[in-house]
Amino acid sequence: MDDGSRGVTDGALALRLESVSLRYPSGIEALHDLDLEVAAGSLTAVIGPNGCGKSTLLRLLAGLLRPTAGRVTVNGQPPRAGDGRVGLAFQQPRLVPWLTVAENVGLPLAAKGVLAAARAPRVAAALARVGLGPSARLLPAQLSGGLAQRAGLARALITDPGVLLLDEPFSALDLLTREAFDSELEALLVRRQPTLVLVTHSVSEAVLLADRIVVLSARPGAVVADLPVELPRPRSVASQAEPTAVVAAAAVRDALAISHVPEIGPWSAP
Amino acid sequence: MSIPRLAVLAGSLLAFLLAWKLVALVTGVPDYILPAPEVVAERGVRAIASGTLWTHTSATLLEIALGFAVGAATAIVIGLLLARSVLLERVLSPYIVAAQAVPILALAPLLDIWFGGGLVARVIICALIVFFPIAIATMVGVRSVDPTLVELFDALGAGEGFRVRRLDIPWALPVIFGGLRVGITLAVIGAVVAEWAGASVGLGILINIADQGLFDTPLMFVALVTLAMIGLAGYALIVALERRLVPPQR
Repeated sequence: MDDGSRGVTDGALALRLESVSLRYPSGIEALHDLDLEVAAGSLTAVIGPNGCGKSTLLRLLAGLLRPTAGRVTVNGQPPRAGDGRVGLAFQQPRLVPWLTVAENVGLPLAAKGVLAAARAPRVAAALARVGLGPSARLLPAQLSGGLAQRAGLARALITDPGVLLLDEPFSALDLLTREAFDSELEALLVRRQPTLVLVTHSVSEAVLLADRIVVLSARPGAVVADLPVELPRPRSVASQAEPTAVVAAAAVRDALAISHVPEIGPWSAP
Repeated sequence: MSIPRLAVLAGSLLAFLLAWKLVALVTGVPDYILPAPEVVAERGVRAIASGTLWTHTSATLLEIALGFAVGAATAIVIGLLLARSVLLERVLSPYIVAAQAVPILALAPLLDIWFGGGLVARVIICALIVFFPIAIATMVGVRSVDPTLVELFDALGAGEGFRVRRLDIPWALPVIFGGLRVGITLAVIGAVVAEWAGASVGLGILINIADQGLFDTPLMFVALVTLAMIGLAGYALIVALERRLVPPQR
């Protein structure tokens, strides 16, 4: 699967979910007996119908939730929120409204008691990485949706996590911004190599970014398909037109069609 | 806003004084019932010159400042705890509400006995009346923190102190300041009530002296106007502080 353009650093961490189930206190079972292994340094997209437990899966990996059954490990140990091994970028950027972009990006370090003087160079580097240097002193309200998402991404990357979790990070963006961002992210990931798990419901995004696409069933989520994407890197929006990409996308759509239990009936022929 | 703020303020004050004068003039009531503004002003100048007004005002100002500071500080801490602990809220809130429902006027003499009748007792009475609106405002404000930001702080592994300082308080600050605005005006009332429960000096005492012994109604008005001005100044101070401290919101 690795085409050689992307060397895995020592920092990347392997993820493992062993027969994981998660039932919320409300009684809703979000995940049921899910097994998933993610190799260190790989790029995995998780795709599935709405409410299939995709976001729950990320929260488990980030240590924000504990499974009600089974085991979740990051490099052999259960994840702990805030230990810096896992970076999480949310669906909405979730920037603190009264902090500047730089302060927001530095928040994970500040939360760990890193002093301002020690934070500054790392914040500057993280901002530069996502092209936000000129916006460092702006407040979140002054940012466009795309720039705000970049700030969220920079914040997730600032601890140099071995795992980067992205929860539909571009769903709030318009299509053009989104496509540009996908390409940028792809380039960014080729340069730096944390293990990536991307939750999305965009098939084209999954194909563009991932080496592997895991399709989840409707709730409670379980793996229904595990498909490789053998597309050379670097990729761009144009790569979607390549035959391998088209075939991969079609396979994902087929798996989704099987997994998806429609809430309303299919269109009936007249 | 084409007319300067100060001009509006001066204009409205002038209109108020004129209306007052007009009522006094038309009704023709004697000074011991409704003194005209210039009579009050003249009495005020005499009270200032003799040092009487400052003696009483300084005592009341001290009570207000200490009572408000103690009341507001306790209220913010308790409000934070109530917001973050459902158990604590369930245990404490009935007592807090019940204490608030008992008229402070009835409670003040008792508190005065309990706390030795000195400045400490007066500060506690004043702090008690200030406490409620600020504690409730803090609790409501902290409860309203965006849950997605709470999850962000959880994901960062932020400690309790970091979360309170960097998220809860800044988020709740506009609401807390709403409570502080109410609290500062109540502090003025609290100080007077406390003085009535047992003090020998203060603007509340000055009102009593002017009323009971002397029928010096103009002096009573001087004390009332001074109290009103203290309330206004305190309120303005809170608003100015709010402008400086409240962070930009979403």
